[in-house]
Amino acid sequence: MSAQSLHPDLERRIAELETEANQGAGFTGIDWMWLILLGVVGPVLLLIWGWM
Amino acid sequence: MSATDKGIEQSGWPLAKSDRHWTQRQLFVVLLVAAAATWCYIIGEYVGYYLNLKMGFAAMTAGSMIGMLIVTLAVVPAATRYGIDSIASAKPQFGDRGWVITVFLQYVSIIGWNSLLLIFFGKSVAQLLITLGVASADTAPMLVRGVSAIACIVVLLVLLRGATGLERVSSVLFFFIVGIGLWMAIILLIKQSDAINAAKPAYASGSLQWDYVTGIEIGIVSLLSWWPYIGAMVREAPDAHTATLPSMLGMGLPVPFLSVVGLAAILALQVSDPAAWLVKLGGPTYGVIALLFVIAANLGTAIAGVYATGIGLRQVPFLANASWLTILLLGLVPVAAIGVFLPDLFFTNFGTFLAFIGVFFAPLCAIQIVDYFLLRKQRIDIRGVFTSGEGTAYHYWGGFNPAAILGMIAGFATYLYLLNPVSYASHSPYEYLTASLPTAVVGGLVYWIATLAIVKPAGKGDYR
Repeated sequence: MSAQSLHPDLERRIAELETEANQGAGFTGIDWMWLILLGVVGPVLLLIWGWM
Repeated sequence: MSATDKGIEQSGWPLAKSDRHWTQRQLFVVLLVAAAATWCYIIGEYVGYYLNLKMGFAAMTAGSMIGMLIVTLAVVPAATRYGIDSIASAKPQFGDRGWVITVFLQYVSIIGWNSLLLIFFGKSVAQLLITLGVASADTAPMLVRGVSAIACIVVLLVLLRGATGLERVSSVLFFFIVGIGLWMAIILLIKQSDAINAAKPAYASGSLQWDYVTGIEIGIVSLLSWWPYIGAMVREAPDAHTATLPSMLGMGLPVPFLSVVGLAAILALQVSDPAAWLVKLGGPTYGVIALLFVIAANLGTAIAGVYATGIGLRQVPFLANASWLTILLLGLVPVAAIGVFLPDLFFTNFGTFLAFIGVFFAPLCAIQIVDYFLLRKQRIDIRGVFTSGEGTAYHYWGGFNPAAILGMIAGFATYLYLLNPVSYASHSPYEYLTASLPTAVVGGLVYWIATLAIVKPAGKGDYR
């Protein structure tokens, strides 16, 4: 696929997504809290419990 | 295919924010149905070779959640920001030709797993029919072939409706999987509690620490295998917030929770397949219930897998305009051929190959995390993802990014040094660190250093 031959609908989508307001937002502070809780803190606590 | 509003979910093109309607609940259901499959019992069985129920559950769950965190950080941010799948999200790191490496990993991995799941499904049906006296033992091979072929046709019919079909079928299968899964766990833990408590893991190494770390490693590496699946589904969410909890809880937790059934079964009954041990515990009626579970779980995963493969294959230039039916057939015909012509050969040998393929996902995820969060500050050139050739953002050198290739090789070598994924022979410091985590660190570090030392100074890769 080359830049010169993009389908008009694909071109429209890319142009839309190049504007930051049309992009999905990244992780919020709450999301980071959940990620750390479920992916780091929770596993560490589980491992300690399992070893005891 | 023309990407009309109706067909956009069957294309590999980016989904605009207005196309992405899935809520947290919808995504949670789809991801849970995708994650729950017969492999959970195999994972539980492997952990049960080394650990008792409590330690096995703790190690497996902890490892699974760590693995899910790595996959979530690698795919969700870019997929939900730009509405792209796992394959498209890897183009900025691998280059406008190098991304074929990720297509290969996805295609082989999902085709392989789907084949195993559908053959497993066929074997369960055959076993049940024999138990019920409907079929004789000598018809089992034909039954496995026939059932595998029928399952492929069902998957095809569901996916002709694209992501909508996936979402609707998942919302039905969800209740079977959760309901019967809980019932099986309760039956097993209540009826066999004494046997579970008295059981000794069959292949315990003599070092409890090594066994514990191996339980964690099995959890991590199993969940890293979600990389090829997750992007095609989370891209239907409007932002990363909508996808975070469904990813961690919907795709991360069902695996250890269902695996604990396999773990308990292998400890108490020396068999992890519920179609076998439920018949032993409760006769043919329980066997039918187990079969319902296997149907729901494996079918849901196969549907999600073929859909993810289809979206990934859309990135291949000569398939970008192919009909959706053609794309689906590319994902299903190999599975059907394996299921019909060589199920036993495949079932016996392909697990080894899949074990090696799984090793690549740790460095792949690490490369994406380092690139997206550290090197690109959470922004990619979306036009560069869908264009190629000299002068485009991700052309690098001849379409390949040497930093990504070096990172993958370094990660793969690190894993093989620490742990042989087939024989489980290990080298220190595996017993302290697992194999996947150091592999991810080495792969990501090599990528980061090579990018700063070679790629960025050469003005390649659209780094700013």
